[in-house]
Amino acid sequence: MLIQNGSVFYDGGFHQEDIRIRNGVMEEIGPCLTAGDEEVVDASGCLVFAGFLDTHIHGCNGSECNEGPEAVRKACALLPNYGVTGFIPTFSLPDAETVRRAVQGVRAAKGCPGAEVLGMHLDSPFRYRTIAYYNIKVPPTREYTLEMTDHDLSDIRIISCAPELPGSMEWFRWITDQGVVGEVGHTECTADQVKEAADNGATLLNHFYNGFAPMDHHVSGALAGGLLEDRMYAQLTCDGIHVAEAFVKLTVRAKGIHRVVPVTDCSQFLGMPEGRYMRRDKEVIFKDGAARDPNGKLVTGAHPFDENMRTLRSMGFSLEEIGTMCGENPAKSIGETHRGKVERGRKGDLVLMTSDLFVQKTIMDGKVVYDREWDK
Amino acid sequence: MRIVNGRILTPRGFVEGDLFMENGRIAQIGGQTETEGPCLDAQGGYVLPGFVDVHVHGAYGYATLMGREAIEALTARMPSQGVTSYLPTFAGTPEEHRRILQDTREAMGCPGARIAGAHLEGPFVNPERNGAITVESIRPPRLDTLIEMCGPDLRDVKMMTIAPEMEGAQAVVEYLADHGVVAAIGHTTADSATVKAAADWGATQASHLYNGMPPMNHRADTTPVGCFLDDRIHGQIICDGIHVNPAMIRLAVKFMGVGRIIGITDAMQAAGMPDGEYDFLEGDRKVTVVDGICRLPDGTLASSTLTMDQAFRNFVNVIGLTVEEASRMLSYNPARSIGLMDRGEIDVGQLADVVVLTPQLILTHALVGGQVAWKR
Repeated sequence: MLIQNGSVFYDGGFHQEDIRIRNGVMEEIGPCLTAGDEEVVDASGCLVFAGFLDTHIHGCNGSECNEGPEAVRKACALLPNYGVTGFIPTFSLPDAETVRRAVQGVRAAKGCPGAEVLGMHLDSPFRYRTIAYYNIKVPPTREYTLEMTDHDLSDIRIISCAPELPGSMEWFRWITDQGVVGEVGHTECTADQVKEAADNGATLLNHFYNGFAPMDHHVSGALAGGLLEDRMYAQLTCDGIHVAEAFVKLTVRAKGIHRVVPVTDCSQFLGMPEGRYMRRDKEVIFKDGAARDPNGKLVTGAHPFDENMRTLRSMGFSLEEIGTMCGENPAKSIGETHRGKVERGRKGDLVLMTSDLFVQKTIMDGKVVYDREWDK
Repeated sequence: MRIVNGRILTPRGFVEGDLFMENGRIAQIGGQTETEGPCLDAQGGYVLPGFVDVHVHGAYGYATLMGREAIEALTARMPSQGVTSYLPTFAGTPEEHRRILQDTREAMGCPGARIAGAHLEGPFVNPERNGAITVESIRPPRLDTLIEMCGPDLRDVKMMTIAPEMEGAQAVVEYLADHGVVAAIGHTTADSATVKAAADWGATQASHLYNGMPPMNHRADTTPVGCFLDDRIHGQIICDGIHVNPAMIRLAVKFMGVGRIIGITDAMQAAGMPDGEYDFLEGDRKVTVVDGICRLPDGTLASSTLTMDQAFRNFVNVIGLTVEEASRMLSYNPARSIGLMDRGEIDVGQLADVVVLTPQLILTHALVGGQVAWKR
């Protein structure tokens, strides 16, 4: 496949270049490539990004990825509509056994068509929140981690842990050694403990601001620690609801444009009508784009990846900044080198968008898997 | 006057050698000077520019609101904390502002530190964030009230703390800026758009950042975020470890940069005095000081007992800044922020306002105009 005449994003800027995909891989990138006998896609007037990676997503369209292989297949089928070609099913579950069953469900769906499952994200097994959705405090151990994953960490991408839990620093060193991203989240720890977690290998902050004790200028908190820690990427739910616009800007300013990773944190509510729902055993009211418990506490996101990009645009970020944050940072934050950037040799997954960031076409392995025209 | 055996901090870094002062100004830095006359041995300690406090209500039992004699007594004692220039600061009714401003003008030139002008902390502030200022003294921002208080000549008014969201604030801020008076955003509920507007009108500083403002909260757009997002605003910080947590001070330094942080004491008359009960003149109230922390009967933090030499040690020992950075925040930044170009650094031609500290950062000498104004 040859994608011609597009405005191709990589390395912080847009380039008037063509992309040739052969055998599922970007084989050639450059100006005015000559078409052979391959399929040609005219991307005139389009922005071309590497397929988007959503590193924090629980589910969509009425189901959550922990519910079994069918729910995972559903997500894989739907997500290319939003430009997402790879995602990390994310579980926020109360105990090792439910996590284990969720992990098994994702493994059973392996290889299904649509967006690619890039491993799993265990969102909050080792949390410490005094106001938690699930008020459990499980200290991080190897045994518990292996129990959750059936003694197989090969497809576990990210595990979060509250640094104030006993044994967390040793656990961060160990999990990092296993090739899993150690993530700080669902915590009320101090700024110093965030630094200590980074010293011990943690490189990621779980949906920053959410699941953290709120900021207080009289307190040394995890949010201050996260903003001070240059070694860590910060996931940010950029739906304009989870984090106020001014704080999105402040975060980019503190951490730099290369360290902010937009995520959707979305769930079954994505694509569903507003109303009252049961999410696992909890009542959730989905209204005005926000999913809240009966006390008004936000419980999860409900906006697709491309809509959050438009939200960032409306906040005043440039297309280049959005390209860096949404197009390239997610891959970097999980150490992914075969996807998540337009670069020769990487996987041939691309998204063609209008200049106002609506998805026109999604391409995977050199094949169109979503075309806006099909919706018409 | 010569200072020998010191590590002299200059705009080009530390210089080892002699500091030679003549006619009240810095005449030569480094090298050997063979001059008759007084000589001071720094004994291997630091020779730094004198501290400049732009926000201080009193110390040593004297409050600016007590009037001229107290201001003169305070001025005589300020070199004992390394302060060589300062702005007597006061809050109160327009009538009190008028009277104390007049007293300040009359005290200017008295022995001790240099009175660089006055800082009026009010009365155009927001009653919702009055802090320790009585609500009864607060007035809506109006030019005629300003002129009633200050007269037509604003030369000796160097700063006014004002809430930009109050109706009428724009005209006052613009008038202040036009007349060379620093408009400091403070005791305010301004959001980031209002902070930006205030900066457009000419405001350049935030009065005791974080304090007297709505707290930071990631779901809200509050004043501290607005200040951090606008590069034109310098932030005053009370570095006593009580008004602002050290992690949040580090964060302010990260957001604003070393060049835009101004260390202040915001001290009241109990500074340099034992714990106990003190008169809080504004509003005729009592303040209880326990462990150096001043509180009104309802628990509101009311000023501090911080001294500038202690603030210097806190910036270095607690916040972790270098001596160069801390010096910049306590001397150069505050001096330049109020338009004083002849002090704030040790360079040839600058006023010979210098402090000497031991390598452990204990103040031993303060010189004003090349004369020893205080020694341990």
